[in-house]
Amino acid sequence: MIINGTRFGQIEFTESDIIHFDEGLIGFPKLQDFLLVPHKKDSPFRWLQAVVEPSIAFLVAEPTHFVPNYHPVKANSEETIVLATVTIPAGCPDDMTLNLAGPILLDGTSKKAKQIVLDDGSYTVRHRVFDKSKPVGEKAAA
Amino acid sequence: MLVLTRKLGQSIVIGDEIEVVVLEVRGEQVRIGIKAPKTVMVHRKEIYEQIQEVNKSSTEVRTEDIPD
Repeated sequence: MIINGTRFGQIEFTESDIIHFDEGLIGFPKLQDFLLVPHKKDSPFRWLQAVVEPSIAFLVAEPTHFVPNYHPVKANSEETIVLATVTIPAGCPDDMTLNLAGPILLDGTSKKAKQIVLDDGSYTVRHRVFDKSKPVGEKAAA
Repeated sequence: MLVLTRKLGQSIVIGDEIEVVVLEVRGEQVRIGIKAPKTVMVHRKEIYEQIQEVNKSSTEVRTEDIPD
């Protein structure tokens, strides 16, 4: 199968590549099937490209790459991949934030995924990754 | 919107599986108990809206702004 993603052009995929969200992402209940597309080689960033809507792709990253002690759920199976949606204001990469209060849990085996809500206040939807006092691109101390 | 008046300890049932109970009323604060199946997501509206907003923002990131 092929989709013409607005961001990446043609993406070839098979049925087994599809990640399925029974409930969609929060705010996007109708988009249930996605492909996980790498941003660049060796980049922590990936895109969740909607299969039925080529113009919609969510930028995501594995939050532990930036926040090593982030553990949104206690009993994490080894098959579970944790992702967070990423926000970067136009032209301000140093203002990048991760949505740590609404992580995406992806089962690498079944390819089923779910966005959960942590509303106990331990994490925010806009967790700053880079310390504003430091130069652009330099990582904040963990 | 359906509007119902309830007293302390009284409930509302939604469908067969969801029950909403008024647990405590103190000034402007109301404590509400919700019984629902695990498959039903129940959250404070504010956090839900915030997540919708950042999800949407993540679709609008410019490729050139993504750090290496």
